[in-house]
Amino acid sequence: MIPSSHTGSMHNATGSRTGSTRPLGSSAAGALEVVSAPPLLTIQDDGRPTGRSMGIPRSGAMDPVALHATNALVGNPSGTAALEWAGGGGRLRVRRPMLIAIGGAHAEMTLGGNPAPWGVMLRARPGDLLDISAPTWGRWLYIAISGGIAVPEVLGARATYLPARLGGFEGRTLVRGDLLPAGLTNTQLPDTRSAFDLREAMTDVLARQHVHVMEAPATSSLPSECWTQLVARPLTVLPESDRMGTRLSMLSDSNRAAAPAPDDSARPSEPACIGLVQLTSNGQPLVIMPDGPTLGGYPAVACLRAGDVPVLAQRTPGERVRFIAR
Amino acid sequence: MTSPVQVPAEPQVMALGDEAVLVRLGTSVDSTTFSRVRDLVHTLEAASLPGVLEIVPAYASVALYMSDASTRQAVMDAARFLAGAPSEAATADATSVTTHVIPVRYDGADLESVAEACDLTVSEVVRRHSSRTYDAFALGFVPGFAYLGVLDESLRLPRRPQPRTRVPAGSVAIAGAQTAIYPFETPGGWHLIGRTTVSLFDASRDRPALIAAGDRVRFMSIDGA
Repeated sequence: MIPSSHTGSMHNATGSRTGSTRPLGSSAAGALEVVSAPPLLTIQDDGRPTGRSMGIPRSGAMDPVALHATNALVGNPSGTAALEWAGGGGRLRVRRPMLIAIGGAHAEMTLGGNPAPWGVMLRARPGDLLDISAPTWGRWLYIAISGGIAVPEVLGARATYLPARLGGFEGRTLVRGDLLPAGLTNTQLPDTRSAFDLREAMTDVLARQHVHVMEAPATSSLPSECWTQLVARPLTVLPESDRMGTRLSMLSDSNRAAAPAPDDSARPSEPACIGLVQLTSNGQPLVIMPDGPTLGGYPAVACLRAGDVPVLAQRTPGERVRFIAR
Repeated sequence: MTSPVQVPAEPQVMALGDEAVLVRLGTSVDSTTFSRVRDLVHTLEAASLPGVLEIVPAYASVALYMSDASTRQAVMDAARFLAGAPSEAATADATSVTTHVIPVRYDGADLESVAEACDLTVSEVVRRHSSRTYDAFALGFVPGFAYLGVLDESLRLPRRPQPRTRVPAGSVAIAGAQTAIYPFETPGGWHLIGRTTVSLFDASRDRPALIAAGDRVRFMSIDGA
């Protein structure tokens, strides 16, 4: 799987190594051009460490495992800004020499007319076209380039938060004609063994059919048969799932009984977190994802273990997932 | 957690996922509970617990967010201790709380229907809305959106049955026991009673959100176009 170029010289790919004292963040404008974009193409990194007190969610990659792995494959620090690709196919044009790694979801891909393997470091030349189909396995695909996508940081991150048009590329999804700047960094490429481990970690996220959950602030108020259902039966991911939340089907009378009345204003909202499983008024579990609300008004009946959020994120609508209490 | 309202309730300290802790001081929306929340935030900030990235109050609870799971148990233990015995020194005295005065042109699209539903004149709605000092209970919904309360009893209405798909930025609105200002043009189901030109959120400012949870807010009626 590892192309021969993996062990080759990095000089062409990263520009002048002798210029390595150039500050991080100086950029090659227009290193990557969007020729045609999938419906949801945004710049994401590890998200904003703080901001919840202002109502700003963390945002960042839906699948941080894939973000970290693709960055590592091109020699970037793991939380460097990369492209998050979802919902369809599209094409990018390379305008500067760069290293590229594609991970997370799988898709049909070609670079410069040749098949481009998933989860490896690829060397791209100016003029190369990178064609990517709609994801065929998983939902969120990541494209990391050497140096990262050098858009300005907004409130501590380059991640795009679409509802408030924060961060990323002008706070919006990328469209045809957008020119993305690349940063310049010193490249530290992984060895063969580490690259293998990175692919293993990404594949585990795609392949797993279960997530571990723990109790949440409203678990003890949940009828026990409702908790039993939550952790015993596979749940189906519903199509309305997005960067804000994953909706799951679990319709039963006991859920509805436990769910709040639509205008239950007596119960004050409480701070929420990514991975929190809320039971909405129609009895469906709604799991808060990276762009999800910082406050929750529905009972928080469970919470995903922090490391298992990407597993749920990568499930496509119609797929099933099982909650395991741990 | 279906316990009835009790003041003061025993604080409950719970895990909020692997990387956060929730301290619940009550289950009702009122200024008495919120003043305890405000005090606890001061106590927790003064304690500057290792590993805590952010302290977020909301209504009757406070959450502490950590960078990873390793510090959760220590933070839970510390929060349990601090919530059980808030020191008097950390109690926020009234002078240390920021009060914002927001100029409002009371000409919202729903002002007349609100007056009708409340069986009040328009000017009485304006007078009652602008004669209170509100607590900012929490921020959420969108960046900079502060939930303010509590509203005069005579102004409390359920949300609109059909939310608007577009509420203009700067709209001053009411719903239930709360009032708020929309920082951005967003969908919204609250009743629009006025508008302000004050910028509620600007990512380029040192403090992007004008109003922080725990602040106080007054509305001042202004005339003119």
